[in-house]
Amino acid sequence: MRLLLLYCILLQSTFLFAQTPLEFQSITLPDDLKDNADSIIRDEQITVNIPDQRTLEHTVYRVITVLNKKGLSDINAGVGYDKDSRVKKLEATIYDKFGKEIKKIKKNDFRDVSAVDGGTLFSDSRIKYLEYTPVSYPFTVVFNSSAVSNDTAFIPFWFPNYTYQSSTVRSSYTITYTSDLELKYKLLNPSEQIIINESIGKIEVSVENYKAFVPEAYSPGFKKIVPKVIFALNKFHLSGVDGTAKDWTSYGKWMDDYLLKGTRELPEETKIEIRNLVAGETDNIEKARKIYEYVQEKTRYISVQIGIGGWKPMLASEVDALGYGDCKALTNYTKSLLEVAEIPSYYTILYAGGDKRDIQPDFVSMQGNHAILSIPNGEDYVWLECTSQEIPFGFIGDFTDDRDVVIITPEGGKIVHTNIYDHSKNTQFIKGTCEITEEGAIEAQVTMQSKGIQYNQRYYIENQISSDQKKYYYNFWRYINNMKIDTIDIENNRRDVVMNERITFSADNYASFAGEEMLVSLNAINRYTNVPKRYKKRNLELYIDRGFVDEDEVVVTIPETYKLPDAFENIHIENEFGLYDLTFERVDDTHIKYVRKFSMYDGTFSKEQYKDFRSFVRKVVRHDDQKIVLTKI
Amino acid sequence: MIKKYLLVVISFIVFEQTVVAQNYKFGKVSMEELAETSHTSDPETGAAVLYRKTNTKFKYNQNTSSFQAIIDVHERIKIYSKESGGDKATIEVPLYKGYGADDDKLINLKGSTYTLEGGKVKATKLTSDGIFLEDYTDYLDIKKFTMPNIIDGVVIEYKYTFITPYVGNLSPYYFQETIPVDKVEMKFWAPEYMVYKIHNKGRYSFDIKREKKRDKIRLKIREEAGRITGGSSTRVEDIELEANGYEVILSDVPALKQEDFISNLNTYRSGIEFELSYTKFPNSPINNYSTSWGAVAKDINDSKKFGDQLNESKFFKKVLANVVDESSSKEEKIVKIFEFVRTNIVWNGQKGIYASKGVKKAFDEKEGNSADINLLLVGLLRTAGIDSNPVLISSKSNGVPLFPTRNGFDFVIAAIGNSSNPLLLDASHKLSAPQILDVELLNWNGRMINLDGTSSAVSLNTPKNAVHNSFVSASVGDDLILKGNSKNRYTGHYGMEVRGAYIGLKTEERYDKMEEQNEFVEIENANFKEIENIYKPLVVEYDFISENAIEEIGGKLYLSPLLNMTPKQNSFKSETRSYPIDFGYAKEDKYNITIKIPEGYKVETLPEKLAINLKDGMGSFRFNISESNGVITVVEQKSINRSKFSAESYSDLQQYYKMILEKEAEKIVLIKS
Repeated sequence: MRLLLLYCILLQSTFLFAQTPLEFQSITLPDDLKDNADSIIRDEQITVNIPDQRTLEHTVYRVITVLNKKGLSDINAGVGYDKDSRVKKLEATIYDKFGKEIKKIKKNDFRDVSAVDGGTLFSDSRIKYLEYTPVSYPFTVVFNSSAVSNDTAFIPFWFPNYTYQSSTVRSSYTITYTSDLELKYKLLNPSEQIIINESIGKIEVSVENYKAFVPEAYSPGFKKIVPKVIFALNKFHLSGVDGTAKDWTSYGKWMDDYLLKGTRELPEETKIEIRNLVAGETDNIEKARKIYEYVQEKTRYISVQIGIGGWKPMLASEVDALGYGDCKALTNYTKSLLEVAEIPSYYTILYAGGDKRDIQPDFVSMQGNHAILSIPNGEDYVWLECTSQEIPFGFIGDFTDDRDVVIITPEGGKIVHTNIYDHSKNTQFIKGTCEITEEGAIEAQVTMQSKGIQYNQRYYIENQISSDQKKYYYNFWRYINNMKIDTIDIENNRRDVVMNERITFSADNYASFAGEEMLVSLNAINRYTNVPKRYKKRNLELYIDRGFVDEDEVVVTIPETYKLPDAFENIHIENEFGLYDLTFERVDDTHIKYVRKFSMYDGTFSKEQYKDFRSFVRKVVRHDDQKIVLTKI
Repeated sequence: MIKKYLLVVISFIVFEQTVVAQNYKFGKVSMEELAETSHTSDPETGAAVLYRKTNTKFKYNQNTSSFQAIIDVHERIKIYSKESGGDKATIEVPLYKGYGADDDKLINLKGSTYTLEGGKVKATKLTSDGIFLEDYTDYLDIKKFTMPNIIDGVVIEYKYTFITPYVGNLSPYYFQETIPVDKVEMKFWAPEYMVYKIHNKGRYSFDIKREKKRDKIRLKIREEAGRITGGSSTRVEDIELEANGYEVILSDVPALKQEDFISNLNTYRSGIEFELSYTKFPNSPINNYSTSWGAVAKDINDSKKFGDQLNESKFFKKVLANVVDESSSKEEKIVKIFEFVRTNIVWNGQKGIYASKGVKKAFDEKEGNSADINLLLVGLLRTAGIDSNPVLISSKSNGVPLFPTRNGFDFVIAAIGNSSNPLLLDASHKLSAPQILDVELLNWNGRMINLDGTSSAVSLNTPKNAVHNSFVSASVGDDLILKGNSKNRYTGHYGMEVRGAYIGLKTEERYDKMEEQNEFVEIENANFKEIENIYKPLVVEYDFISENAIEEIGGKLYLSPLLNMTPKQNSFKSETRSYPIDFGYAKEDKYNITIKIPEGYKVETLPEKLAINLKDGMGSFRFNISESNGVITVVEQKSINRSKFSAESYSDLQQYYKMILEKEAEKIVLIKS
């Protein structure tokens, strides 16, 4: 599953401001803005001017002080461009900490490279960026850029700071536009520090003294924390086509008319093949399943982004002939095949990724970075991820789950929400037997059944070569040394989306000895080991994005020459974060059975609760590794 | 016995299968090749090269008055699984440009994907919509193509002609990939004017067949007619010559497998490399290319961007005036000059043996590549009267060169003293102390270039083990919480590694990182002494609290003698090993731990002493423990006395670590007194 190129190219540019170099010193900086900061935006002035539907002028003036090496990537002195846009001005000047100019970088000295990311084979987007090796810290970069684009579908957004560990003395964003284009804006993650002034044909956004903060474990992502102002026009232009986004209905119609219509012609042979494929099948969902599997077998993901390719899918007939495409192409192709079988489906646009990110439902505009397909099924939808050849029909997993998306229906666009995998759906059931030998070795047989996100986390191992599968299990049981995996038996039930694994392994020196005693952790098979990080002062909310349920039932056999302890302590912990239950049952002198249940719930909690959460997980980790003492008879 | 028989039978069948004649003509993909669902000898591979043929010949280019290599490439690949082998359907060929009159070219690209449909072989052609040329940098284009119609079981086939003017710098021809190669044929025809030396590389051996044939070069000669008549005419002239042929034919080359602790997997990959030794054109003198390391070194030294950089004595003198006093001792001068360059000139991260901007400009701009920086260092040292020379190095990512060539080096450092016992200095890696080079540079030999242009090999080995000394004093309170203080001293590469991990971090970040190493410990009052001073051992001192170090079971207390301070996992998990193991550097860890036991408890049992020696002094382990007056003392020492081990020593090393971990897992048991 891969993202499509975000066509939100940051068009940036120059500002002619006479400023005294003294201002660029970085010896005295406000202390509260230095806290946690690797860089400080001293002054940022962004202007966007939209004189007509087909022109967007973007200028950037930014003074940023880089305090240390980690702040280097915050300089952000670059401009992307393509056929529909050009860079008019680009320059940067570097000042040392005393405010003395040390280097001037002209437009032609910026590096100009193809803007191809790892997942893309070819793209005609390019980027010019500043490559600078600092000779000492802190230093200050004054960056000026100016660019003009014919596309007005993507208007640069504004953040008070762009990343963690970066603060801002002041930043402003001014947009001027022709009022009949109907500009709208929205402030996400509102904060009182953000000031917005609106007048006819003009909006000004600004902030002062915005502090830096550090990322924390189990917290919402940067995009969910930091204020952001987004802008869009009701009447915009994209790669030679005028567009409209008054409401989702008209936006969807426009999408359909200009980007999707006429792309789904298929050769007659393929149509016959599809009709034959679904012949005899009466249920639409079953037909769709067959077609989805056909697509998975026939295609692969190759991303080529040329021109409007960033938003317009490659023709279905081309995908049919070449057997590859990006997310848009493969989604649209699948839709075209479903049409042959007379199954309605909707092209769907969303933000993909492990962080759940919504399409802003009340802000009609070009949004999203990925495409999937939805098939209406009664009140509900079946979601199809068309770029993966391994994921089961109707399963979307943590890449596109639980978020608002736009579906493009014949009646126009519509906002709907994808499947939610709450903790009860993400299960792992283990049944196992472990035998401890007299030498302290362990031999274990384990069967595991996983569903939901826990399925998601491991279905890929089915098709790995055995040495990689072994690596996976070595890592799964990384707390056991000297492990030998004896057998691996995997059954991926794609139809029911259930992963069944049967593993046998052994390990020398599993138990440790202390004189005549043998110390052994009964729970060898499923230990939670991940203690959340300690914070002296927690600043961000506690956020558990996806919960889970684990249940283990294991019988442990001890050598006959050893004796089990007389008593075992059952554990039961229950709170708002989850549940932990450990129950022992002595079967006979050499057999002990335990049942372990551990659930973690998804949810958002206050920052004050983080300490309790950590304490809960620590207890789990400790009980999971609880050793018992076997004494020699 | 039965097993043995079975083996014989199986190998017979395999043999039977391979004798079936294959048709390797372009486009003649067989039903059998398409029907195959897994590879015979490597059933898990996602893809295999069924056939690879390269044919290299040379053509005289009259426009540039030079020879070009013309390499015909033909490749047939079976894709068993789209998921794990599908990446082989996208091919990228680097094309170098802008280095001279002519650039690399890729022409006549043709390809098809073959599938089995309705019992027939069907071909889908590679068309222009699957072919791209990416303008990557000013010196590099990348030709990319991706084959159509890739499903499980397909065979792809493509051919193209690669034309390169860089005949003195031909890429190796590889016979081995990370997938099996069933059949490979390499032919190379060099005109007698161009003499190549042949170098075999990798662990999978092969034979080279040599032959000679008659060849000719056709020249078009334009003849100007007389002034009065005007015009001109062209005549053709053939020059007869001999061509030297080299041929390698190989079958069933196994896949190259990635392993942990490998410096550069490419080192073990089978292939052949052609080194242009000299050219001898008719009516011209012999033109020697690289022939010996001495000649290569001289060649490099003669360059403006190398040797000339060391001759800027006026500039060096001027700089030196502000750095050292005439009256300083030799040692003082060395330290001052090294420190001056190390702290004043920032390394831009670029490797290189040639100065990118030159020592003067690098000095002015306070920034440069490794050659700018270290040649400046040599120049300053020499000007101060210190016997100093540059040393060329091939870093690990550059591999070990097979033959003398300028590409055999990619880094330069400075040395003081003679080649048998030099003091090595690298002012580009800022944490590199004298004699302690970055681990990436500890590869093969260095080559010292003397003032007179002669050169000699230099060992880069670090003479001493890097040592980590840890003194821990801890006590167990009545609440069973373990509290203590740990003082650690790191020398050599250990110091460099730990400095690299913690330098520049804020206090909080350091705590986080330390707690990540040992999740049951909470760190306080951490102090990093001499973290900026690379000349001294790094000292890290901290207090710690652990609620989980003591386990109370049935009224007894159990604790690990090493207090969870040492790694708990064996890094050598894999059961087998094919390639040598690279630890980076030789090292020694010493722990001296005292634990005060709580009031009201006494020792019931202590783990026993243990001593292990790896053979030939390659490593050793000592564990001692004793108790007196309620204080337990643990002394542990473990060392790995070499940085590199052969693949054959793998099981010994694995066993060594297993025994150590087993010992460290044993418990101290305390009972109520």
